[in-house]
Amino acid sequence: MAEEPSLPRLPLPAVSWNAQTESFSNNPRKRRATRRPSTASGASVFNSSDPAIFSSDDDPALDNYVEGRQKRRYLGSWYSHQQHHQPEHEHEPEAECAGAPAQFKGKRTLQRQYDSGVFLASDCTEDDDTTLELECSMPTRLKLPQLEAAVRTMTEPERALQRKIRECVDTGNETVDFWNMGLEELSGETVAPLSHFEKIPDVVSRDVAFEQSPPKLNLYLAMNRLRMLPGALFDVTNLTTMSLRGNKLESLPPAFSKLCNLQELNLSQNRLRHLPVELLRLLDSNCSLQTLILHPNYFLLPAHGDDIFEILEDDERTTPEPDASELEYERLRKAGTWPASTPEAPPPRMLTRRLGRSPLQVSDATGRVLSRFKLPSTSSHEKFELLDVDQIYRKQLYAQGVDPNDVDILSQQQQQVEVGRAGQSAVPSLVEAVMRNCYRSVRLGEFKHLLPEDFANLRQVFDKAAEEKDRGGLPCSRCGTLMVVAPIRWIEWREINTLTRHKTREGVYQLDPLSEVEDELVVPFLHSACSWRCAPRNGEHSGWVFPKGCGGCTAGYTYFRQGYPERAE
Amino acid sequence: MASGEPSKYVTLVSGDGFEFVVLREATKVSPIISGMIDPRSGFAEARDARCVFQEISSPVLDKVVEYFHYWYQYRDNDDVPDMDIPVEICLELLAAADYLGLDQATMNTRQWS
Repeated sequence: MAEEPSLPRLPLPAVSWNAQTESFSNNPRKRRATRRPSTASGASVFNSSDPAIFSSDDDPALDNYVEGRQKRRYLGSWYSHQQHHQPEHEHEPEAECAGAPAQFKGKRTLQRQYDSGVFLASDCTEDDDTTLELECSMPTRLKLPQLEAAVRTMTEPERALQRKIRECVDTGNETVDFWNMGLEELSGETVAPLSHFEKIPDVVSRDVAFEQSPPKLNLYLAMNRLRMLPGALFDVTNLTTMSLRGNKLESLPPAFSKLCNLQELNLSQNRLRHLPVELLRLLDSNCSLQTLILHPNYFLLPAHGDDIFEILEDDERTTPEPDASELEYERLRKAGTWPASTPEAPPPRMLTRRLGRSPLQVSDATGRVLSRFKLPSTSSHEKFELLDVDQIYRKQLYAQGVDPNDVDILSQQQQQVEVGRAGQSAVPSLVEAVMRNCYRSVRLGEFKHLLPEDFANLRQVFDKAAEEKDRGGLPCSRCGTLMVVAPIRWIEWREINTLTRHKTREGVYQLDPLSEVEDELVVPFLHSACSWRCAPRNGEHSGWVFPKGCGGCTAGYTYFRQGYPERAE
Repeated sequence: MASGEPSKYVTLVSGDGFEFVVLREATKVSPIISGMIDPRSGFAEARDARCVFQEISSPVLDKVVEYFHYWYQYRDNDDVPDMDIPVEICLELLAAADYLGLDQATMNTRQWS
């Protein structure tokens, strides 16, 4: 008897069965009889299942069963009865939460059942399940921040372009024509298939079968509504022709310089305020840019542009004699090496020269501008904005014998830069150093969400870093270090001229400006420097810059200009 | 130490009690620390050449100190290698750098030396 498992003691009152209503009742029969059947409380206890009942037979103590004795039947589970009727009994933790059905009036809440490790509702049966309301005290915020970022939905025109690109890649069609299709957004994944483009080898027309040649891709995205270009576009290095005419581009990423095989580039009719100076690398001899169309755009013009135009006009006097080469020519003639018979280096296709620059915009590592001078935002829509040019570079190659140090216009800022440079450090600030590390991380997008609310300024930097990464990186214009925020920026105005071979005279080339309109003679280029070391230097010569790898005057070329159009007074 | 030439070194103490002894010259990249230890300021930190940063933990302060030396070593070099920062302390280090005013391209290092 002693080792027999003892079930809990049964409570005293029992359930009574009402034969008339065919339902159980909590009330003893005697009291029940005085009530009307419709008020039977047992019916409302459960809504769908049969009531759980158990009989007094379950009690092992009742082994001496007496015949004729009526079994007691109980409604509900035994432990709730035990709890209900023996409140003085030992209080176990789970009994606490179970509670008695009769006393259970409060709302049902989620509670942690520590033995299970799972959040469960309370074990006790409910008075009414229809009133069940799950009140969750836990925050509904997702634990994984990357899930919060909305999944980018592709617009219909972009989907069409994606199909088109896929079709071109599949069929080996080198021309993607997406002219005037209302394209507003362009993501990297859309254009990425183009970088895997493989030309189908032409077997018929050639003697050698299956000769693989690099594809010459043509991408026409003219007359759309693009505002941004994805960085992946610049990994499609086989692009030969690209037209972005008539879009809404406000700035171009420096990654443009990667498109070395580009022969024709049309950027006209956009909202460009300036171009990245890296674009000039496309003029180098290892690149093949032949045609560059920049105008019209909303290019920034210098406020004191007159000086620049003076430089331009001065050049007329030097034509058509050999000009830029004169100094060099004298030196080389004495040395007996002039003229070089056949220049090995190819002649440049275009020449540029520096005309002047804007003051410097200095900002801290979070992008806050510290200097008085601020570059106009790319989103301002005025057509022309005039900037103060604090220094106009004097042409030095043309004006022979002028010592670069004699340049009289030296702004205070320039002097500061010069004084400072001796002790200027190329070490980035710690904020920038950390950001560059974050930038390299694949989880760049997640950092922002992990940052506490107080650091709103640092949040912006993460946004900017993500943007720059999407655009293909922001290198320092001088040293090429990848940055997140450029501490120093400025605009440099340049003149771009194309070279054409002279019809009759061998080795003589003619320089022609890209545009005949006066305002379009100067083109603004944006420079970004990683530190004061890479800030513009005083006395940088303003003569024609020969693109890297191209033969200059020393190679025996002679240039002359045809003079500029008359300036309107 | 109470009078005369200030110590050549500065002690930086993290919130969990680690002490880092740094060259005074190297801490000058931070305007906050150089303000604290400026002998003219009369702060307790300047007297003892000891700054306690309750909010900065030792791994983060360790990286900050590493940056001080990194800056000191390469401040006059043209080629500056990248500083290696583990991703997991990036955010804390960013907050510490913001706090210590290490967010500007350094200018006029000459005037300090």
